[in-house]
Amino acid sequence: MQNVMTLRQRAAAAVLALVLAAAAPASTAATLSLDALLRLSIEQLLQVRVHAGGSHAR
Amino acid sequence: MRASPRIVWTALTALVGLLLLAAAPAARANEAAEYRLKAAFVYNFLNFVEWAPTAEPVFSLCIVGNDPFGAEIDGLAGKAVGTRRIELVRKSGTDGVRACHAVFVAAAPADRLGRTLEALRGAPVLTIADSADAARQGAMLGLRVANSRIVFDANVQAARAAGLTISSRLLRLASEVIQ
Repeated sequence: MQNVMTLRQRAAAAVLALVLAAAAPASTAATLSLDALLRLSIEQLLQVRVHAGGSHAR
Repeated sequence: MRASPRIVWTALTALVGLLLLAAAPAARANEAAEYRLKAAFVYNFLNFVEWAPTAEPVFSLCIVGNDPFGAEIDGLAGKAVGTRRIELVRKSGTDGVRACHAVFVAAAPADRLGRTLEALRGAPVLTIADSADAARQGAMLGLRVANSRIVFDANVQAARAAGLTISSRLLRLASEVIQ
């Protein structure tokens, strides 16, 4: 049995890693209760995404 | 057989309507999440300000005008600010705002912030607002969304004029500090 991954297998693994990374983004406010947010430091609050998806500013 | 343009138009209109109906709850959920996060910022802000010693047991956190938090901020009631416990007070206008210890002013309507700041002139009340240039307009702390995250600006000059001191640790984390 050959242990070395073929180029195609490596590409498939890379795509899978990207898909998993996209499916589990950084913490979003939508997934955290107020109690959970109040346990975070202000530095950590600055890292919480308002919601998953694209960026916007206002 | 070809569908008539009218049938196609009706079907498209119905489809767009269904999509809009499906999107509305998601938009409301996003807004609720944003204000839940902003409520956590507000609570942190209160604990990064040097308050004059007091024997009062209550810390009045007032929301002036339209309340964008809804129930998302209710969990702050009873939490500690120094030795005091937070009481949430919702005010439709600026009457009695000088009795508050901190005031949150929502983004809309646009003239609400100016009128509230005018009513609070010289009073040791922390002002927090929710619009892009709130700190430039004179609010001591302004919350805004940038790159899908909440950031804040600080107006040290406004805080000093009201006799309040904002912690240097908080100021270091601000996106913009107006001296």
